[in-house]
Amino acid sequence: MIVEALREIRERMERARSAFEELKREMGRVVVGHEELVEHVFAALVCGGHCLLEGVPGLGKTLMVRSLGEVLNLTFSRIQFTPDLMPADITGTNVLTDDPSGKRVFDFQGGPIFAHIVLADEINRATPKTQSALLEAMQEQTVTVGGKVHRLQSPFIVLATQNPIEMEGTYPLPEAQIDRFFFKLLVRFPSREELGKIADLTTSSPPPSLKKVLDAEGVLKIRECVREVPMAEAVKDYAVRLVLATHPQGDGTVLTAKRFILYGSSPRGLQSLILAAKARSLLSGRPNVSFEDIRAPLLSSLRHRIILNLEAEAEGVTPEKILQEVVERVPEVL
Amino acid sequence: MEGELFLRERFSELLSWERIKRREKIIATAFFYSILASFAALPAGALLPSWVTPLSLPLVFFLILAPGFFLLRPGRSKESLQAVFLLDKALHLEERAITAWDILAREQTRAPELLVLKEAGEMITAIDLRALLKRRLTWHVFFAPPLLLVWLLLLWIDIGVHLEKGVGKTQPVSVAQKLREFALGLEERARSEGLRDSLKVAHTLKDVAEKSVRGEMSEKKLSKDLAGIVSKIEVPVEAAASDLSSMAPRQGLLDLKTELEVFKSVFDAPDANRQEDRLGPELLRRLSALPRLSEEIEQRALSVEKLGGKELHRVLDKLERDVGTELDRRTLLEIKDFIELLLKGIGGEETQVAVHEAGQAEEDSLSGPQRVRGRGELPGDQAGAKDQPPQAPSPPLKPGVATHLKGLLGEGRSGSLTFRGKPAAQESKIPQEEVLTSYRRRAEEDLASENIPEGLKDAIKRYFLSLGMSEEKK
Repeated sequence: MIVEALREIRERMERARSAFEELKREMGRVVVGHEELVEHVFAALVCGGHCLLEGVPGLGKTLMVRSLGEVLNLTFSRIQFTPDLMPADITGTNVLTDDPSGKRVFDFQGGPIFAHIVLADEINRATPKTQSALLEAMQEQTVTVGGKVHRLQSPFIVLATQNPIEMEGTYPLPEAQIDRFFFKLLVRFPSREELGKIADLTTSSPPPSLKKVLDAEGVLKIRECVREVPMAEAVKDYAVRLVLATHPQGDGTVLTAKRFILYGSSPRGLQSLILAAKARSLLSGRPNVSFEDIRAPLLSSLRHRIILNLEAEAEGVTPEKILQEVVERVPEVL
Repeated sequence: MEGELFLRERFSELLSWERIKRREKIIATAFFYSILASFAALPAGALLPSWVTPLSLPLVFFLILAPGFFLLRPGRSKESLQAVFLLDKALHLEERAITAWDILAREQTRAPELLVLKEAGEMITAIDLRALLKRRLTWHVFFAPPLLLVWLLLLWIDIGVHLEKGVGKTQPVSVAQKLREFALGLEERARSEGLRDSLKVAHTLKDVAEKSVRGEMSEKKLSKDLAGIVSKIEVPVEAAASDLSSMAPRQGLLDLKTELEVFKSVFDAPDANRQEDRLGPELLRRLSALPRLSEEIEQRALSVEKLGGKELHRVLDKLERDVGTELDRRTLLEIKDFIELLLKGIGGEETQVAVHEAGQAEEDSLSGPQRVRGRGELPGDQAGAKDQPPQAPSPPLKPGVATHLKGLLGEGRSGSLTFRGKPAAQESKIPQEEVLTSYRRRAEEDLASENIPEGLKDAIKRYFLSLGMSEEKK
């Protein structure tokens, strides 16, 4: 019985790992230079989290998300946020229609949020009211319209984007709302070679069709496996000490954090770190979480949860610099 | 489960090996720091208890430091975690070992945890843990032996500045060493003074002392032997001293002996002007220059001018015998007193009396009211000035203030004042002011030390100050 259980576990792990490898290969055929981005987005998907993508326009964010939906056989919708966007434009609304008997009834027409993968483009352009409608749906995975609760699809992931330039006339997300995002990922500008490949892919031949690697059920199974990955107390303690090191009043705080951080990461940061580490270990084919699994998603999990003070802004200190020092100073085992 | 049992065994093996290494490291560290502490303790040797010898310092510090280092080490669970962590790093197990260690501590295991146990077991099955996690010698191990050698060298060449708790404190001298010192001094004295019986006793005491110093004799045996020697000492009857000017101090007897030897050498010379019925003028003149001898002869109711050569020879011989016997007797009494004091010291009483004071007590008991004054003890030749102010009475002693000092056996301090005078055609002179100033300075130094009883310091200070004042008044 034990042998069978072990075999089953191994098979599940192997399936998850091979699906992930295949996903990366397929995505690499259409998306150039965003391997790490794809890995993080998939990790957020299997952990049940949402991502905030920050990058200038034209870097392939929409392409990446759409391709991901295609490869995972998940429905995809894109919402372009504008200042005049209303909450009902996101959630949907009741529409007066005729039923077959000719009676006039209200029929709920779901908004673009009713998809597995939702790309909320330039979320900072919409009003706070509209933003909160989306954020509420992200948190509850339900939409309430006209007193009726409508459940969103599962798996469900929101990939919101922010333009780091053109901040005039925008409504930046408050820190409390940013904290709800599992990862904050920075979309970097492609390198010279990558630009060359992009040019080849997009200007010479039609884009290749993508193979479906996984489906919703497969993603949900992987999600179950992620939560079952064993983690040692010492590894968990390491993650806890890393998060505590970002608090200026903490015992194990590093000097830079004491000097430049106003508020450290919330417990959501720790949840994100541990889940992401478990996902990474599973997708790497390891049966347990390692210290490296904790360090790898640290920047993505915590960079948006640290609030810097004015001195940091004046000296140009970024959260990434502080987190790098935290990783260097906090020992794996005390 | 078999795999679990195997893994538990491997972890036990790992932990016991790590504990061995940790103990060795602690011992090496404690050893290093105990030698270092011994270096620091060398100058403060006088402050350490008497049972701590310099050679035993490293051991003493080691016995103090080693338990401290053991107590300061991390707790058992932390030690175990660190050991398993090291195994993970050494074999690149990506925390499989540490996770398996955690899982083994739980009561129930789920399927994913079983997989961790299986993989961890497979990865460490064929590993020689002792070869993998070898001993790492810390820098303490390398520095300890040369440090120990340097320390032993310092001990061998007797380097060490000893702090003195108070001036005049001497290292305690063992009874055997005191006895040996006394015996050697006695032997020399007896030989030079021709004291036959005392010399015999001195030889015996020296033998006993040498044996005791070499450790061939216990203190109990020593005290027995000394008691035996005391009982065997036959002090001649005092009647033999009755012909001498009685109660003469020892120095007086020695002076008399010296004068006897001098006169006899002249008397027995072939060209001495010696006649059967009376002495020649030269001999008489020589005799008159020897005051003690003349006095002694006269005290025996003999007229020197009327003495013949033979008669005088007989008197001189008898006097020589009497002086020798008296000196011997007194020395034997001194020896008895000293041994009795030593025996008291062995018995545990806190009596410390200087060797010389033992003899001095004998001198004082003889001197009494019939003390004979020799020329050296007469007052100065110059008459005192009439207009000198009367001496101020001694200040009254405050009640409870110490006026005595405890004598100590062993070498005491010695001091001297050196005066240099310019060589001149006539006799060298030193100004009186210089002498007085030196006296005053020396007196102040001694007053500041503990050699003078507290109750008498004031009186002594006034006396030395008054010296200068009387001279100034002149």
